[in-house]
Amino acid sequence: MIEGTTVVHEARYRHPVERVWRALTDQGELAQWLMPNNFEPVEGRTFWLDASPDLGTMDCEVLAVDPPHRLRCRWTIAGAPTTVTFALTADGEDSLLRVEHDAIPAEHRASFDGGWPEKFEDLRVVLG
Amino acid sequence: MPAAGAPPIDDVFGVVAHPIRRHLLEELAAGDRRVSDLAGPLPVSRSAVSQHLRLMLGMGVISERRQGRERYYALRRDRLVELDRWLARLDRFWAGRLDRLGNHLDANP
Repeated sequence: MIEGTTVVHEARYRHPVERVWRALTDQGELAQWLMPNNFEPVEGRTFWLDASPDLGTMDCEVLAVDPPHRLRCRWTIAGAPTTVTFALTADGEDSLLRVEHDAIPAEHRASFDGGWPEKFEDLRVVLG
Repeated sequence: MPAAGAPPIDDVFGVVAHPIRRHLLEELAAGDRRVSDLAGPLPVSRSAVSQHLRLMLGMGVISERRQGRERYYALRRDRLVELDRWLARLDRFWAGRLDRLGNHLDANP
């Protein structure tokens, strides 16, 4: 699903959050389903993800780690900083995973002091 | 992006990252405009708007044509379609990867 300039996906897995968290944060596990990497779940740590040929090789940084619920990273794609946030919640025996990939993160948006940001919200109007 | 044939997204992303430029794009999406049409309702100077327009011309997301003494600006939708395609690509990427995650978890509980 695309919301403005953010890609959002939600998935339910029939596994406990601790298990899913390991799949999100362990180098070997990540390589199994995401891509080759040298990730370590330490805030401020830089790492690379090899997404070739889809997205090329990306320089990344861990922005926030809150086990086993939230992981936020910067993926720099073609010089453009993007942010990827994994949010994990338990639902009974299952886990709900929400991924938000913000292609134009707020911290990189130029500030605008006009006080009417809602006017600029719907980029889809332009893209439609 | 190092991958061959990748879209030059930094340009287009840079264009839409700025709220004033997004506003200008929305205006131009409704029809061709002159600088004075665009600058009028904005809380920034006309020269600031001109600067944004020059940058957008440079990126190729808008075009300019002279009509008598006036200059009109128009949206080049083909360039913005790239951004839309890029987001669609990311969308497919995540759909595929999250399926793989499910398969990985089921195979390695």
